[in-house]
Amino acid sequence: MFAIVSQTIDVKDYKKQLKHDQCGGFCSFEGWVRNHNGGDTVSRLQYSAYEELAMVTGEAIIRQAKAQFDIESASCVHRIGSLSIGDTAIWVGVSAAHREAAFQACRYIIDMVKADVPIWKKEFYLDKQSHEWVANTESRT
Amino acid sequence: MSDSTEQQLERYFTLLYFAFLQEASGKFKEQRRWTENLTTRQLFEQVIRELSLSVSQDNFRVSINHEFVDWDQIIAVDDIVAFIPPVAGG
Repeated sequence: MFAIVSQTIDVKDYKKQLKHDQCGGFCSFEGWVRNHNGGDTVSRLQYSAYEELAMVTGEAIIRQAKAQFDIESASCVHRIGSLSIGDTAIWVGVSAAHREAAFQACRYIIDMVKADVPIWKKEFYLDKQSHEWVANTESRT
Repeated sequence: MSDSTEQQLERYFTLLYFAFLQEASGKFKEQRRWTENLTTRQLFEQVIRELSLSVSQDNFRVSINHEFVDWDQIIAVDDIVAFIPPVAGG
């Protein structure tokens, strides 16, 4: 499951959906808004998305993770809109019979989302009036 | 040919703007007049020129109708085209 939401990500709810009797392990990754980037003090972030293409791309990444790794379920939720320091911007969760596949798939999903999914981030700074569009080093453009 | 007939024959496609392209253009989307054999690459060059931006096409991807396509794709009537700046999710 891949989702884009504009409110706080309810991790408990998403995690519950990944719990299955045949799973012995669960692995998750959370991306948080941090207060600095490249020497600048960040005050907040504004995320935006091309939602139709982001959904198609995100769902393809989840499908690929399921095909490539021996996992049971995988979900990824990305938040858009204005986020404050400490907010969760992205949550990835994977459940599997054994931990190794869960770790690998979780890493794969976050890496692919950062490279491919059309979501953008505008950084606002505490000590500057300006803002900047920042790009992931993993971005495939 | 009368003006009204010409207007009836005009056909369009939609261009979506995202991230700093949205900021530079001041638009979320626009209807643009369709012309035959226009490629995504040619449209990109037109748009970048119109917005007076100095950016390289190498740093963008392009989509039509919510799917990534290549830079030689010909744009069809009623297509929804978008240029995808470097992404920053996560």
